[in-house]
Amino acid sequence: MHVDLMEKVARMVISDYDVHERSGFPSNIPIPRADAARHILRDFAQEGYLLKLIESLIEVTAHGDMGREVRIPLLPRIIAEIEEQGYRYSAEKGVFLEAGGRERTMGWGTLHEGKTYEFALLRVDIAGNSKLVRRYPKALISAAYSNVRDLVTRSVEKREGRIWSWEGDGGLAAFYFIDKTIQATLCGMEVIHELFIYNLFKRDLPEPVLVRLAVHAGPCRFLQSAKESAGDTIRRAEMLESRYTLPGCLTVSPGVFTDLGSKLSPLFTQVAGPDNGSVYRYGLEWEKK
Amino acid sequence: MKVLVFTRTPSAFAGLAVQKGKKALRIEVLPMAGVRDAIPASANEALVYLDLRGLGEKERDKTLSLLNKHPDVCFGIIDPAGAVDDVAALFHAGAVDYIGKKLGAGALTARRLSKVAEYSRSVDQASDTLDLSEDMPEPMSAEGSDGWSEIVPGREYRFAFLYIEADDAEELKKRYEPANLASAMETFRGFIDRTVTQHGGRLWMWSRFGGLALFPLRGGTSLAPQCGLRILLARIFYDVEESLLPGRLSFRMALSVGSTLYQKSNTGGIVSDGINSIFHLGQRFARPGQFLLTEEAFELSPQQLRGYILPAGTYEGRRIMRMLRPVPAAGNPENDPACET
Repeated sequence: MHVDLMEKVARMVISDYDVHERSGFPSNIPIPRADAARHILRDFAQEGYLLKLIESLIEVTAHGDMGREVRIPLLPRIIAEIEEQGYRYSAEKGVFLEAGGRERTMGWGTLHEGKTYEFALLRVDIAGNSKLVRRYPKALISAAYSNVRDLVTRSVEKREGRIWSWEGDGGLAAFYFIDKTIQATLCGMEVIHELFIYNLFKRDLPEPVLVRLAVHAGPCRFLQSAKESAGDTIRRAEMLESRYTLPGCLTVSPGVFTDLGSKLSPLFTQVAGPDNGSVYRYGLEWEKK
Repeated sequence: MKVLVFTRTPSAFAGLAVQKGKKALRIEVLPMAGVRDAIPASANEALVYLDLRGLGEKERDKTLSLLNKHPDVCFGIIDPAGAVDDVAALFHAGAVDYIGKKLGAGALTARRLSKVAEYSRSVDQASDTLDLSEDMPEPMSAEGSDGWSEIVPGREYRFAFLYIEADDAEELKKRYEPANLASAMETFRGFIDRTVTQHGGRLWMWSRFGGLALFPLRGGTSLAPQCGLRILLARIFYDVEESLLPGRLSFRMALSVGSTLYQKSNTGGIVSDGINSIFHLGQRFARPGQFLLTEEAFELSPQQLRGYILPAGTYEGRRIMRMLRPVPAAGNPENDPACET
C-alpha cells in the first residue's frame, strides 16, 4: 500500500491526519512506506483509534479505492487477532462489536470518553412506582422490577444497544449504529409487547406492571459514568417520557418519527407535544370485542 | 350429481357424456372458456374436472387459484403432463381426484366418476356432521420432558396442529418475481420455525406460502395457543426487521387438536382427518389476518388468554373461536394495513 493511500485511510478516521506533520518528516521529502505505517499505527494506538483504523482498512479492501482493488494480505490475520480479544466484526454495520463472551461496555468498546456522538436514546420508567412500592412487600417489588429490567436489557442488547443507566424503576438505553432511531423505537415497542406477555402469564404482583417509554435522538457527550451524563438530548428524552407518555405507551420525537418509514410510521398516532408541536405515540391495544 | 368437465379438447371425452342407466351421472363436457363463470355457480352443486392439457402456465395458475377462492367446489384435475408440482396442495384446497401422468387422461371413466362422486359426497357429509375427534382411535400422548423425546416415527399421536399461511398468494405471485418471492417466503418460514421451536413445537410441513406445526400434548396441555399469540405480537417486528417484502405480510393461522401418524419426512403423503380438517379450517373459514381456534384448542389455552378469544361461528359442525388481534396506537385498525377485519 502506498503512503498516499495509507494517509487516505487514516483520514477516514481522523479527518485532518497528516503523516508528515506527525512524523516530523519535511513535507517535500517522501516518507518510506514502512516508516509511514509505523507512525500511523503508533498515533492511532495512542489515541485509541486502532479499531477504527482497521475498520477503515476493511472498508477499503471491500470497496476498493477509486475503482482500484486494494489488497492487504495480512488483514485476515489482523482481524482474527482482534476477534481473539473479544470482538466480532459486523459487516452490516462496518464496525467491530463486543462479542457475546466479552463484557459489554457502555461505549461498545469503541467510543471515546468525553467525545460527542449522535445517539438514539430510549428512556424507560415504571409507571406508578410510588404507589406500587407502598402497596406491596419490598421483595415482591424487587423481583418484579428486576424482571422488567431483564426484559428491557434483552430487547436493548438484541439490537446492539446498551443500557447506560438503571436505577430501581427505570433507566436509559443508547443506540449508536446504523438505523439507531429505528432500533431504539423497535426496542421500545418490543418492551411493550413483552411486558404484555409477562403481565399475562408470569407476573407475581397482583396488578400489571406498566412502563412509559420515550425515544429521542441527537448529539450527546459520551461518558462511561452515565450518571454524570447530561445534555439536551438526555433531558429531552426524559421530558418526553415523564410529561408526554401514557403508562403502557411509547412516545417518539418528531425527528425519530420521520426516520420510521412506511412499515412503522402508520402504527403511531400524532399527539400534542412540547412547544406547541407534536410527538408520536405507540401503544398496544386490541381490537374491540 | 352433476359432473362438469372443462377441457380444450371436448371431443376427447365425448364417450363420457352418453351414460345410460339408473345410476347415470349427469356429465357435461364443456369448453374451457366457460370455466370462470361455471366455477362460482358450481358450489355444492357439481363435481368439476379441469383438463390442464393445452393450458399455458399463467392460465393454469389462474384457473387453479379460482378454485382456491371457491372452497365449496369439489374438483378433480386431469394432468397427463404432470404439470402440477404439489399434488398434495390440491387436496388441501379441496380436490377429490387427480389424474396424473401415470394414469393418463383415459383414466377418467364413468366408473371412476361414480366412485369419485360417492367419495366427494361422503367427504361432505363427514365434514358437515362428524366431530372427527370422537371417532379416532386412542392415540398416544407424549409425556416426555419436551414432549418430543417419546415420539417415535411411524406411530400415531395426538398433537395440537397450528396452521399458518400467507394471505393472498396469487396477489403476491403477481407482484413479485418468483425468485424474490421464494426468498421472502423462506424468511417467513424461518420466522415461524423459530417461534414454533421456542414454544416446544416443530414446523412439520411447509409448502411455498405456509405450513403446519405440531405441538405435543403433555398432560393435555401445550404451548401452541401461546405460540399463536406470540406470532401475532411479533408480526410487526418480523415485517420491519426480517421480511424481504417492501410491504407488510398478512397471514392467517388456525389451531386445532387431532391425531396423525408421525413421520419425520415425506409428510405430504400422510392421510389424516385431523390434518385435512385444520387445512380446511385455515383455508376455507379463516379470513385474512385471523387466528382461529377450535373448541378443543381453546381448552388448551390458559385462563389468562381466554379473555382475548371470542366465538367466531361454526364450521364443519364445530364451534370455532378467534383470537383478538393487536391493533396499533389509538385502537384504529385502519392504521394497520395487515389487519383486515
